[in-house]
Amino acid sequence: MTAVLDALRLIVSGDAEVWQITGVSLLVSGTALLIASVIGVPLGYWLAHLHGRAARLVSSLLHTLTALPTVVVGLLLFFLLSASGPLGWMDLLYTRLAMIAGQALLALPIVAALTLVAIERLPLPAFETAASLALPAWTRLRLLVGEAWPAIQSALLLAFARVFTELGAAIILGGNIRGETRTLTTVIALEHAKGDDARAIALGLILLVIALAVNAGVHSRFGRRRA
Amino acid sequence: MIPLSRTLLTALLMLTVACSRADALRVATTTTVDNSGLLDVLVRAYEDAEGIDLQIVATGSGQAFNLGRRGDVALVMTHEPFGERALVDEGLVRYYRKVMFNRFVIAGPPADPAGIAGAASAHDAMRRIAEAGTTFVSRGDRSGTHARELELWMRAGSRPSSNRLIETGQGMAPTLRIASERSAYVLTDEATLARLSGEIVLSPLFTGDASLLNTYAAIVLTTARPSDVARAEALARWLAEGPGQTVIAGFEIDGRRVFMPWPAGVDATRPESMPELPTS
Repeated sequence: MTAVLDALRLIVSGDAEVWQITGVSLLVSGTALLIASVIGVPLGYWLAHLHGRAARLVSSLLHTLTALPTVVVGLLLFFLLSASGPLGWMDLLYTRLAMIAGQALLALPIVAALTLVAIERLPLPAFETAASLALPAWTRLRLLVGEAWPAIQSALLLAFARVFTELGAAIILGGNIRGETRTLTTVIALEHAKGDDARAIALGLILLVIALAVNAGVHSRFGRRRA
Repeated sequence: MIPLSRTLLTALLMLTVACSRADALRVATTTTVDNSGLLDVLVRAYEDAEGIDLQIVATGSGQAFNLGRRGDVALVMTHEPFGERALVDEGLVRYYRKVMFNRFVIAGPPADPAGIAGAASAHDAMRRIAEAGTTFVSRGDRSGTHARELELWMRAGSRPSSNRLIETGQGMAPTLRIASERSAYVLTDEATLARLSGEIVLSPLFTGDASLLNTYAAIVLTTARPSDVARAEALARWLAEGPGQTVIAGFEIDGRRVFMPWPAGVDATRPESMPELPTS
């Protein structure tokens, strides 16, 4: 119980390091989501327009990859990025960029697969209108993605929640370096290992509140749009 | 939409710059040094004195060796003489110095059901635990502490049956907590046990034996990036032969010194080298 009180005190007192770590977490996961969206939404849109066996295969592959284990992505990139690995010359291991790459890989299948579903489920008239107007491809994409936006937004949200709260890739690729690659999840694991319960709980509360607040915020906007 | 995509692109570029590697020196070290809080103190002292940023990856000794071999870190600080000897024999070591030492402790339930407090030696204590039918909690993570535990079981000639030997695969503090919950015996370093003494029910039961000495070494490997070598050696010298020794001597947990600087006159260049058993 005293640990919980200490935790609240840490949050209220505005401990500089706690907020710095929160900032790194948001930066890394936000960027990863941005990259995954820029690639994943058009990819899902494009796949929704393909037919035939190859398209079905790619689609089921994407759905399978949404269950990619975080530690496996971490390990894979670790061996690629390590100084003695094939991409070692890029000098990326234990940087935020390495963590972003890992989290973007985790988010990409979620964004692409759920965008694909969202576009496929649009009512036929939306497609017909888009086709009949002979719009340029880019405008048509904007139109249809706009139509499917509530569902795509939930996909982005789900992807963010997955990478923001993951530990496996972040700790393997970032190494939990203080001031650099220390994120909320890696530092919670560390503080628990150290036996500093107050800090672990404080950071856990922040992680929880942000994850829930992002969900709640977007959900209420989504709700209003439908009303 | 065009302005939006341009904004996104610019944001991505800026983030890339913000997120790439700073020109810092990277060090892999063991969790026992990090968990005790000594590492933070050493890092701050060095950064203040030399103006060089250090990036610390805290892991087990086994993984620290790996990161060194792969060239991912410039310096490793470990407490596993056998693994260190293997590195030296493979010709991978450019600079090796012992930095400090403390002791491992065999801790257990205060009632000491296996009666190890009166054991003749560390491996006799381990044999008593194996034969008394009590539980032992092992790190099981190829850390320096785990390596020492395995060595002691080997010398004891017996070990607890598998259902009484719990492997946590975690750091020292979680392992101590589990041992406390299970009323089990555990091999630990003094520093972490001292830090957790307020919240766990484990007593230091056996410690007075040369085979429980725990020595830490700073190693620069030949695999370090050429551009890092000079700085890594300077840091290793600072730790082993310079002001770092004073910082180590002044570090206390609850008024107790938990790491001893390497004593003058004891060979610091060989992994097997051990100081005299401290009297306390």
